[in-house]
Amino acid sequence: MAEALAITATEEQVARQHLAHHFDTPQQQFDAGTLGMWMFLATEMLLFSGLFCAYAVFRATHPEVFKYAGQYLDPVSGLINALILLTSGLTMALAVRFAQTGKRFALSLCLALTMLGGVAFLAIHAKEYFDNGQAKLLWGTHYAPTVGPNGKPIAPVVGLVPLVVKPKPVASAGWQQLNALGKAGFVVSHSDIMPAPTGPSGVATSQKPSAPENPFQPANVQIFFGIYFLMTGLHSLHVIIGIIVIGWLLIRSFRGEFGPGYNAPVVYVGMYWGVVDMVWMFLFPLLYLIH
Amino acid sequence: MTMISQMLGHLGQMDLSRLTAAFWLPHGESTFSPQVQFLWNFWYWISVFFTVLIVGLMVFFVIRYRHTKDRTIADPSPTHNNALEITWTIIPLIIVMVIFALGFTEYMNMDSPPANSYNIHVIAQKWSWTFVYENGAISNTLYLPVDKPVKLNMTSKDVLHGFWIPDLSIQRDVVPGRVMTTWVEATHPGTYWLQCAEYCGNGHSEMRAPVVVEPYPKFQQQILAAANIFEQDGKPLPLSTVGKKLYTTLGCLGCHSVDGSKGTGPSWKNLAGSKEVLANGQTVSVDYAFLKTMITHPGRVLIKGFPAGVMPSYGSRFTGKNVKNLYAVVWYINSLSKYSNKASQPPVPNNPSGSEPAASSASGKAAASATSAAPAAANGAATPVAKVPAGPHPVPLHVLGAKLYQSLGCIGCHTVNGQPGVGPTWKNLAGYPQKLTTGKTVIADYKYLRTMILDPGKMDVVGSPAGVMPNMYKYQLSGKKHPHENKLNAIIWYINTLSNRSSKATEPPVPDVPAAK
Amino acid sequence: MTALAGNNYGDTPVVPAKPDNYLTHGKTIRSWLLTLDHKRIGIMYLVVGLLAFFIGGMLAEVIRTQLLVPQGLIFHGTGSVASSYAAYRYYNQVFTLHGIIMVFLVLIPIIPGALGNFALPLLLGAKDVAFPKLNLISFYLYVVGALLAILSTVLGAVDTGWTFYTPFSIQTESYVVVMVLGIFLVGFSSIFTGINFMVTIHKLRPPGMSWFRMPLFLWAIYATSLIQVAATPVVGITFVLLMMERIMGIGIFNPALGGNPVLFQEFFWFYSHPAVYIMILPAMGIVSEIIPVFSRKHIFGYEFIALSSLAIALIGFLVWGHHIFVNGQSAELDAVFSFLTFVVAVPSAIKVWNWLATMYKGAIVLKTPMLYALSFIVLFTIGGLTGVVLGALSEDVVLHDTYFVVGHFHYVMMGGTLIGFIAGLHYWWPKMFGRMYNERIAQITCVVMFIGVNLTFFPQLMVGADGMPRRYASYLPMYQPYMIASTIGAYIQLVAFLTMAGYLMHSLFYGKKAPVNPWGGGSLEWETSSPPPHDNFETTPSVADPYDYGDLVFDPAVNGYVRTEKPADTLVPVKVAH
Repeated sequence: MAEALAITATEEQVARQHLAHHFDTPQQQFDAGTLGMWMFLATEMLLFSGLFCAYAVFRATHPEVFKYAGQYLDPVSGLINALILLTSGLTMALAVRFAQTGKRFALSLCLALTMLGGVAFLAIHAKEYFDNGQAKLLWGTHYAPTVGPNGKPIAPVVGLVPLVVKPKPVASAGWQQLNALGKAGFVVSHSDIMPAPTGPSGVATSQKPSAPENPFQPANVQIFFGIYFLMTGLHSLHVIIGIIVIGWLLIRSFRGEFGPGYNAPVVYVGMYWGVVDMVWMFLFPLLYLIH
Repeated sequence: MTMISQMLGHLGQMDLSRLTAAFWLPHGESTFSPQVQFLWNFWYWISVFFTVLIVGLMVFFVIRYRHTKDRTIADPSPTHNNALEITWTIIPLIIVMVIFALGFTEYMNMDSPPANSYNIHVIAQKWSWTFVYENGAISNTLYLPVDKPVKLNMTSKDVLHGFWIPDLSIQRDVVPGRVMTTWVEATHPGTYWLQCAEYCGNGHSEMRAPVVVEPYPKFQQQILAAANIFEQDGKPLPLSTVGKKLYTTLGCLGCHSVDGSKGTGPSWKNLAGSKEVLANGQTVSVDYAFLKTMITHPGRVLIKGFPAGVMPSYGSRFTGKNVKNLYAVVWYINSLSKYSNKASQPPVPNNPSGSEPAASSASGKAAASATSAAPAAANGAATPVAKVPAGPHPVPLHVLGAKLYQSLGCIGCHTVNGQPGVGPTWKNLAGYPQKLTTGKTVIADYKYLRTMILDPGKMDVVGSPAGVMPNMYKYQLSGKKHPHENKLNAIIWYINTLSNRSSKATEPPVPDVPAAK
Repeated sequence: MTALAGNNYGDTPVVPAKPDNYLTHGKTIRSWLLTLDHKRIGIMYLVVGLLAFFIGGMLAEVIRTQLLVPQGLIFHGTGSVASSYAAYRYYNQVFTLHGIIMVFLVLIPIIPGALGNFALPLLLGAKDVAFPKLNLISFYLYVVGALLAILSTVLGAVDTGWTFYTPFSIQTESYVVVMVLGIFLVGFSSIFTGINFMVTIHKLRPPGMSWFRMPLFLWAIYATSLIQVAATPVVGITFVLLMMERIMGIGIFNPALGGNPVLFQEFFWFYSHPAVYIMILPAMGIVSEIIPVFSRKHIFGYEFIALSSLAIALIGFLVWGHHIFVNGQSAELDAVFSFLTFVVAVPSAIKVWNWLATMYKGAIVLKTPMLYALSFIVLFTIGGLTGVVLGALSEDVVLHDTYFVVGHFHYVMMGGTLIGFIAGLHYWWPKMFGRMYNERIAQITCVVMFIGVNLTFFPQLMVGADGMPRRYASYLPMYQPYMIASTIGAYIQLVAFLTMAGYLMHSLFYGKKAPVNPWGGGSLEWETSSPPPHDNFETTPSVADPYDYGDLVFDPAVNGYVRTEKPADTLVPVKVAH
């Protein structure tokens, strides 16, 4: 293997071409880039850590919500996604290796496979989102399922009165229903027209007038779905960005830009993809395998 | 000039004794205060010592070791000295640990209310404080007994507020959605200020309440008196006077002016009896039923030009046994209006003696029946005359239906003039064919209307969004509590009167005018 | 020895006044806007930052003017309570904007962004920061963030306070989303700057400059960057959540939807307390540079000052809870936070003692940068000591959310960070622009500024202890004398700042040409011409002890300091390649 990594005189030249004026050696430049990338990935982890903290806090204070709502999610699709991401992680690692050894076709192939994995992951996830949307397993006031986790009908959730005042429909595009109502002069959601809660106003009460099929439906289930969509949404956003960047690498690898002398972008994106994979390995058990 | 004189005028009010007491910290008047002041003084003198030391050394060095023509380089001296470093690390550490320990012990005390505490419920809202005592009395002044621990259970109706009485050395945030507690035992009678410490919006800086600390017997008298706002010196007060009090105590003044100036909500000046344009363009007259709806269920109807979701729901303060508060406030609103008329006045007379004729608009009853209710209102056990009787009714049901159209909030989504709304208009609804999302077409007969009102999820009409209409009307109009479905019939009768195709099939099974029976 | 103007060492040829420097290297607007030169980016940060500071400062004057009379001088009602409240909304918008602009657009970015960018590679003897393009991106993220803040103000000014506490920030009818998005971008600017500086310090130190030979400003910037990288992402996600809350009604912080409003406070302060150290640490670094130079004496306790920066950065992560002692978190948790708060006070004290020890037996020159550094020590001492009492649990109950807190953090932020920034600006001004300002006027301005700052903020400490809460548009009449004194102080500060703007602008065009080393500094930036050339150094500088002034003597011929002999024993030759 050592021979494969030996940098030839031409590669040395390639490396010099990519050397910025303020670095002394390509190695120094590469090390600086790697360190910078690790730091950036650390900030990415910290970005997720806020959501993990929110998860921990709400799971500690509302364990019944997580136990109940977790049943709605399908662990099989989560597991398939985990396997897809693991595989794409492998192909990405191979891509880094092939970039360093200068195997251009293998590099392009592995990058393409990694992209494919990312797209498959998103497709499965999109299906899940779609199903959630159909079943109204959504966040906040949009949470209004008619079927319990066991498939039996449940009493609709009412009593979620949002205290949000929309200034003008500036950022609320896409919530047509609310907007249409807003234009008519009413900020009415499912439950706006309700007798005032008797407790301190603003305490969410999930009224369940009659729910013989699911007598143990806990209050505030919408919190779980809020966290679920935030965590998986942020992760999916990272997958999308990853796919775009890998596509850019793919184009450059077709052009034959990477070799033993210059492969830093492949290495950096490989690190990024590894972190994206890892986040899902945390999200999957936390969200899909609650019991 | 006026500004300067204003400024100078207040200079005289500066209380110098406040300055000298405990070096700016106000005189503490609770059991926490001595320790708080002790620690403050402890810290204060340490700070003075170190500030003088640091500044003194600095000035001394600047003068003693100044750069001159003859002295351009520093004298030789070491660049480090570990013994010195450790010394000036350890000494501050010890000092701050002492301060920590003192602060912590007193804080634990502040955190544990004694078991025999008197309980006061503190309600914070934008932008007023309300205090509810064990005997049910409500006040905007916080009355506290001397030498008796008081536990304060605090809730917020909207956003974060900060319960803070500087002179009693207590502060606690009031977080919406939970009950926050703190406790205090005042040691000296006096009047202090409670101020909101956590920023809460427009009126934050005016969100304060007087705190009156009195000996226990006097405290008891105070809250007994406060428990009955409808009387003064044993004599009943006119309801509009009581309403004026409530305007302050319930915090209406934060958003509604009484002089016509613009606030967060509509001004009460000339409101009663006037016409208001709703956000959906409909014009309504401000009568008693409308005011009642706006006060008890502010989310139902939205007035043009005023944001939704701002007014807290006062439902429980104005209904049930508290319905007198509603009459009082509406009478007060009437007293501010030049348009005030029979329809806008509450169903009980303003003057408890009953000398002033009152009108009952909700039921359309004659004044005679209202005056008969007046004595009842005066002796404090008001029974609302506007109550819908359970049995046959002398008033045509569709009139009641028109009232319910407003008070139940139907007006929010259904127009009666043919204009499109969120839900289908009621104009020419009864008897006309309705297209369902299933593709079927059905005639809007009585059965159809009843189903749509009580169980709106069953069928969806083309053109109106699904899932919008609340499904709680079945509990309000039907079921065990409403065996005769009187209100439901009234509404459907009202819908019938709005249609030119109403027929036997579309009418409810009971006649519109009971007298016709 | 003969005078060798701008020379590094005796045996290298005299450096003539170079016609080309970084300011003249490329004259088009494009050559500025798309520059990758850290010095130019630093100057652009300076311009935008000072502009933001001007706006924030004028808002502060509006606040102070409003508070001249108890019912409010500028925004007040027409008699009815309701009209007063409607008017006070404008005041709330003003103090909110003041806070947001000062914290996010001035205090956090200005020292790392302006002085850090300009001086850090020079102090390292490097040609640029590690990632020049990222550096430019950081700058533009900052600019776009600032523009979004202005946009939200134009659309409907935010009235939440700079802390954006939920649920008020969810309910209020103003453009919170736009503002928060702007701050989110500024946050990412801060993260990228932090990464850039950390990598630069790690990987671009010249051979011979070990960690403990770095100038202390670099240590301070390193500790600052550590906080920026580790804390800012958390506030980033917090603000994303707040935006989701308003756009989608996600419900995490909204009690009406089962959410937890206190969680927002925890998240917010997890960033915003360390952010206080993002603001103060670089200022401490500047003071650590200035005091030895103007005492003509080696810094005392180098390792302790350097490591105390790191200690502050690390412990600073564990004290956020002291902002929310009264919000109902458990008393045990309060105790832990209180304890750690006291622990973090100690490293700051260590720095102050070491600065004093540096002055001991020095030859103290009271030039403007030194005057500001000394002001810093006094003001920071007051700010720090008032922080100590706020950390004590039972005292915090009496002082939380009062003007005492306002006075405390203005002593630290204005008296600490901004005075430190002004000290650094005066210190590096000759290097930045190659011009000297009028020393006498600058000294007088500094004294006026010192008086103004104290007159503004000391009465605030007193009125807060007496019971006046913060963020009040109107107040009880008994507090008025303090308020008037504070307002007069604010006007005095305004006069000082306008004077400063005047003489600094004047110096740009009419100032005397600056020598290479006007103050006799020993660190590497004083080895290159003023202003430096595009590539920073004509000849690769040699690394020596930055605090050794033994061989620097004042040469009246060039009006600056020159080296008299080669410090052979401390010189480490620089390897060009390896």
